[in-house]
Amino acid sequence: MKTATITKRIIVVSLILFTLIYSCRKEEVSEPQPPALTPYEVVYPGWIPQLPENGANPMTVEGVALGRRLYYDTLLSNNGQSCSSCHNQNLSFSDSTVNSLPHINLGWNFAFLWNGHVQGTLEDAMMFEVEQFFQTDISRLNASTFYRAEFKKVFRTEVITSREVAFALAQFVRSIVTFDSRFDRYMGFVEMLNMQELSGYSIFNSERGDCFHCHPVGLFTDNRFHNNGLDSVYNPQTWGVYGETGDPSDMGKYKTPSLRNVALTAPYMHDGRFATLEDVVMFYNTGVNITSTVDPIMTKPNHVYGLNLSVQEMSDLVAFLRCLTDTSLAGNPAYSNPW
Amino acid sequence: MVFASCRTESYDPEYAELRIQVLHNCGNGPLLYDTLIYQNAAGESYQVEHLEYYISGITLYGSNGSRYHDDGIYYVNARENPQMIIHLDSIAPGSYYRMTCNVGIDSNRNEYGYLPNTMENAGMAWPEFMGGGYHFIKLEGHFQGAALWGFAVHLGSDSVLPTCSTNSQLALKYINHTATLTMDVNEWFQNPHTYSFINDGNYTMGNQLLMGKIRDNGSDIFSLQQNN
Ligand code: HEC
Ligand code: HEC
Repeated sequence: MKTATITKRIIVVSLILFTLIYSCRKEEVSEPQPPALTPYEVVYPGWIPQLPENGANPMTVEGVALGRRLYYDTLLSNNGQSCSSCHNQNLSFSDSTVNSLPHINLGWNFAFLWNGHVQGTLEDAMMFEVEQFFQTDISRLNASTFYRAEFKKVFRTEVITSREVAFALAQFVRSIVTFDSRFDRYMGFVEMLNMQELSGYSIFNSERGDCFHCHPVGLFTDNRFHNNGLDSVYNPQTWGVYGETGDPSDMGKYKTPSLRNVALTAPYMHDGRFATLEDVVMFYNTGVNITSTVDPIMTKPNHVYGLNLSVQEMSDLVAFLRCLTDTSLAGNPAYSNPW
Repeated sequence: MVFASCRTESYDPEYAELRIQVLHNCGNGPLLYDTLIYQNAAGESYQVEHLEYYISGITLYGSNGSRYHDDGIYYVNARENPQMIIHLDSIAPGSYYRMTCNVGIDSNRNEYGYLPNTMENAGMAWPEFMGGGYHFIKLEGHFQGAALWGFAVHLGSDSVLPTCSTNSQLALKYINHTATLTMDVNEWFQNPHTYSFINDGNYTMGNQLLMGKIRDNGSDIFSLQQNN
């Protein structure tokens, strides 16, 4: 495995060296034009909201490929980890031990991490990961002939900085989209859901279960922060956005996670307190705590906090959540380890 | 550029233009969020946390019997985008005495997919199981009951579309008039129905009776003031 990687690197490096030498010779005649980059198009169904573009970092096939290499490269960290160590393709790019947030459809997001610590574009989020979380030693990338050539090709820079690293990572992560669940095929009129799943869908997407207000059908997240009533007392482990803003009305608010592939991302909630989807639904049914900052949507008619779902309805709802799994994501070669 | 300013100064443009800033009050002052300082007509203290809605079908009634109608559907998120401006152009110069509009979207266009496919509009989808289309308004907060309870006043589906009207004088002759359109949030809970979160309900969605009361109360939520 390792030798194969090294051989591959040597081949790539020699190819680049060859190209460089070749272009040096040509330089005598005319200014060498850097090879044109191929625009990368993110493909998603028409009924999904438009993917916001970042004009400062247009996606290219070459940029996405470079980001993918970085994502799987332990060179970025100082402890032998890569992004993929905690963001595992088989688990919707999440991890069950550290309860990381999945990397799917993140291009639609403008606030990141459970407590919203990073606000801005995906590029900003990646900048945080590179500079603050990994504290990447950029000189190691600059020492790599392979990366120097790749970054030059994609960003036209001689010297790599954390900005280009973040931009390349953002291009790759923005390319990770997942819209091929059974529910998507149902929406595309190519597959039927069974009676139980349809019942779960109608509970999810009506005032009965009222999940759609925060997890709207489509991306299944509203990209906002809410207190969904998990706790009645607050401490640094449960206060969420308040820890960032100091605003008492933010107490207990956390990022609404997307429910796409939710069957793959156990355990659940920011602290992984629920092991199963059944536990989660049970919580929404009977476990919601009333505090002054719990989201108004959590109060149901007649000031009841809880859904009053029958055992059957709860299992219907879980059956629907399981329809949101895109089984093609794990094996998608476009996102796998390229080394 | 020169051409445009000539038109401004001539005082006799073919068309007037009006930029309307949308503002939000609650009771006597500007709407403040997350503070339990408001009281509805039923005597309940409440606070507002979220206000999101559409304005559409803006119509101005001219003193000479003419009418100006704007086709736009405008998304308003009072808290996240407080600088909302609606731009009306090609208005026949003259004086106007009344404005009407809808909070929400008229039945001809209230079909999911009609509006551009943005995150905002997707978040306003009204579930197909409940009639489809879009939420007209989401007004959410907490009120003082036995505890601080939540309320979610949501409207959707054609039969509860609020029609709002305000009598205000507009004298339009330039291309650069401005006005402010102010919603008094407290009016959603009074006139003609005194709405109580405790006795009527804290959660309107799926309840035709409650949504109907809020629709009726919506008729006088706006006032329009010309600035220049
Ligand atoms: C040691 C495990 C670990 C590694 C390695 C790791 N992450 Fe994470 N990641 C997490 C955890 C845990 C969270 C959730 C933490 C939180 O929100 O407080 C997370 C969250 C994120 C988020 C926020 C997602 C969202 O929906 O808001 C992004 C973006 C992210 N990681 C990117 C990266 C990138 C890029 C790398 C590599 C440079 C990386 N991560 C490496 C554990 C890890
Ligand atoms: C008021 C907004 C809101 C409503 C309504 C809501 N959720 Fe959530 N949901 C959240 C937030 C916020 C979180 C993350 C909370 C945390 O981790 O502290 C969450 C987390 C979850 C998770 C865990 C996901 C993960 O990866 O950890 C599941 C599953 C879930 N919700 C399902 C549902 C279902 C089913 C319903 C309807 C019965 C529902 N939600 C209603 C806001 C909401």
